[in-house]
Formats: sequence, C-alpha cells, structure tokens
Amino acid sequence: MGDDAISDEFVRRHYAGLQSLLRRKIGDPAIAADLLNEAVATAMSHSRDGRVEQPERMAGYVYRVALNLYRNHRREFANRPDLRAGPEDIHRIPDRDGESEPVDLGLLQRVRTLIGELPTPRDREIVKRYYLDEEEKESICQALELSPLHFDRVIFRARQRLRTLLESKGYVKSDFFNVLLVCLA
Amino acid sequence: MDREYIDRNHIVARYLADQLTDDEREAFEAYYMEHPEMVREMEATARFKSALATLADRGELSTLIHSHPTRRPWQWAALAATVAAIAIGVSYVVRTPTPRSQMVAHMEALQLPIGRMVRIERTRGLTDAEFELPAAGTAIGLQIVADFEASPAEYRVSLLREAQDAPGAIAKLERVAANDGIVTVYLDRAVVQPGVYRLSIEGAKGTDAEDQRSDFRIRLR
Repeated sequence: MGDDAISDEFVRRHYAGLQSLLRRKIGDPAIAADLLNEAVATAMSHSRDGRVEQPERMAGYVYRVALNLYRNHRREFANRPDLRAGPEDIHRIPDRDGESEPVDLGLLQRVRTLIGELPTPRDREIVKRYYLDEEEKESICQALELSPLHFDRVIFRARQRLRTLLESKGYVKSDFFNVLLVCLA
Repeated sequence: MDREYIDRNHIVARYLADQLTDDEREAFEAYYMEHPEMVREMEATARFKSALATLADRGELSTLIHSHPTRRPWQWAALAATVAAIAIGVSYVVRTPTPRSQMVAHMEALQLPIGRMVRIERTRGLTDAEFELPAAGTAIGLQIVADFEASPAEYRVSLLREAQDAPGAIAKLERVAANDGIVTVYLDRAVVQPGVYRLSIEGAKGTDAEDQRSDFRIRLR
C-alpha cells in the first residue's frame, strides 16, 4: 500500500470531521484534501524519524499539522493583493460543482435529535451560532440578550450530548491506531 | 492548561474556529498531544459542525431551530402527570431548608456574607471542583449545572462528606428553583471542613426528571 492510499484510508476513517472543517473553511475540496493528506504524510514521516515519540500521539500530531497548514494557507491567501479579500472571506467561496461533501446519514439523524432535544428555540439558536456560524460568546450573548451563565449552560449540555453521540458511534480510541499500525509496519 | 480550563472556556470549539490567542493555542496543542482522548473530542466536534452545515445546506436547520422540543415518551408521560397534578391543585413550590439551615436557596436566610462563589459542573477530572474554603463566618455559594434539565425547573440538592472518618449527609434541600438553568445554593462555611464531598442534584419530586441525578465530587482545601 502506497503512502497516498494509506493517507486516503486514514483520512476517510478517522478525520472526516477535520476534512469537512477544512473544506468549509477553505472552500475548495481539492485543496482541503491535499492539505490533510500532507498533514498525515508529514506525521507519518516524523513518526518514522522518531520525532513523534508515542504512537498514540499521532492523531493529535495530524490535527496540529493540518491546522497549521490551514493557517499558512489562509495567510498566503490573505497576502495575495490581487484577490482583495480577507481571511474571513475564504469560507464564503462555494464548493466546486460535482464535489459535494459525503454525508453520514446516521450522524445527521443524531444531530437532528440533539438539536431537537434542546428545550427552547433560543438554546438551539445559540448552538447554531456558536458551532456553525462560529460567532464568539460575547457577540451571541449580546445579540440574544442572555447571560454568560446561560450561554455556558447551553453549550455545556450540547457538549455532553455530543460526547454521548460520539460514544454511540463507537468512535473509540483503538480505531486510530489499528490503521496506524498498518501504516507504520 | 488543564481539563477544567478547557471545558470552562470552550477551548475545543474555539480552537476549531481559530479563535484562540497564540498562547492559548500553543498550550492547548501541548495538552492534546499529551492527552489523545482530547483529539477524539475535537474530531467529534468537527463532525458535529459538519452535520450542522449539512442540515443548514438542506434547509432543515431553520425548521429544527423553531420546532417544538423533542420529548421522549417517558417525558411526555411525566409532563402529563405534572399537568394533572397542577389541575387538582396539588402542585406547589416550596423551598425547604434543612432544619438547621446549613444549606439554603436564598442567601438572606443564612444572614452571612458571601465568602466564595463556585461553579460546579461536570469535568473529566477526578474531582469536578476544588477550592479553598473561605474565612469563618461566611457563606459559600454553589452554582450547579446539572447534566439534565427538569421541567418545571426545580431540583433537590444534597451534600455528603466522603471522608471515611466522618462520612454522612451534611445538608439537603428538597426543592430549589433554577434560574437561567443554574441551581444556586448557599452553604454555611461552619458546617464543612477540608475534605472530599459529594454534591448531588436530582429533579425535584413531581418534575419530569425526578429519576435523574448528577453527582459532583468536590474537594475543599
């Protein structure tokens, strides 16, 4: 198995969330995929060189490298005067036709349930603004006229449900390392 | 940076949104390299964001946000029971301090100045909260975030000492109303000593959460 195939499999199984995040932020699925594959390849290379001391740290290493690459990409984008756009504009670039994001229907249903179980429309609005729109806490509190305590409570409970959701998906520690062991063999 | 700081400051969501300061980001990256379980939470949060985006793209999210909350069958049964109780005039709200008023729902009842206010919520550490006891002659305010929500928003709160030499109940309140989802109680400093305590919060009798409970482990220094 070549490094590219290993990276694809590794990404597909274990970094679907990170990949989706990068696609949304960058707006170009091909660049997002390249960037994440580069992060995985870098992590594997560093692991072989002994720069990642323990295998269980690989997952975090990939995350760190990928998000650093994203920040570099964003800076490069911002520094191109011909584009006349700031970093905040990147996410507004639409996906390319024919490369729509793969959908995990089971996850979608769980998230529908999670949102539906929040007790009030305002609580659901808080979660949407915070996690999807990435508005800051102070801005949300001001816009919705709510106390920081209320905000914390809603996000805290959403997070608790998210953890339950994670566990119900069987997304367990060993998953990361089964593929990794094959990769490093 | 530790787990408590990460939870209280929503570090995972802010990291993924690229909202951390450089110092916070470096500290968090160092933390999750040492704690691989944090990466799973980051990935779960990223998948959650992705699912929200998909629901928004499909036009479902707005409908979901403005729909009535989903209740499980047992919640409907509990709600019906509560409504019936109200109809026959049995439902009432009583704030009942313990006989010795060691823990109360309103600080005026203790007639003590507040020595310390502490937030109590679930963490993944061995203890959910740890703090220095305030000076004698003061009260400790505990702002509790339960893992569940009761309707109506009334809760039962109890405090137990876990130490082997002197275990047992310290104080109990049968019915405390939540304000903005936070249950606040006040404890007389004089009734606690340094040590480990268990703070329990349950849905009050007659609420739809009377069979639900959250336990928090607290270390007082």
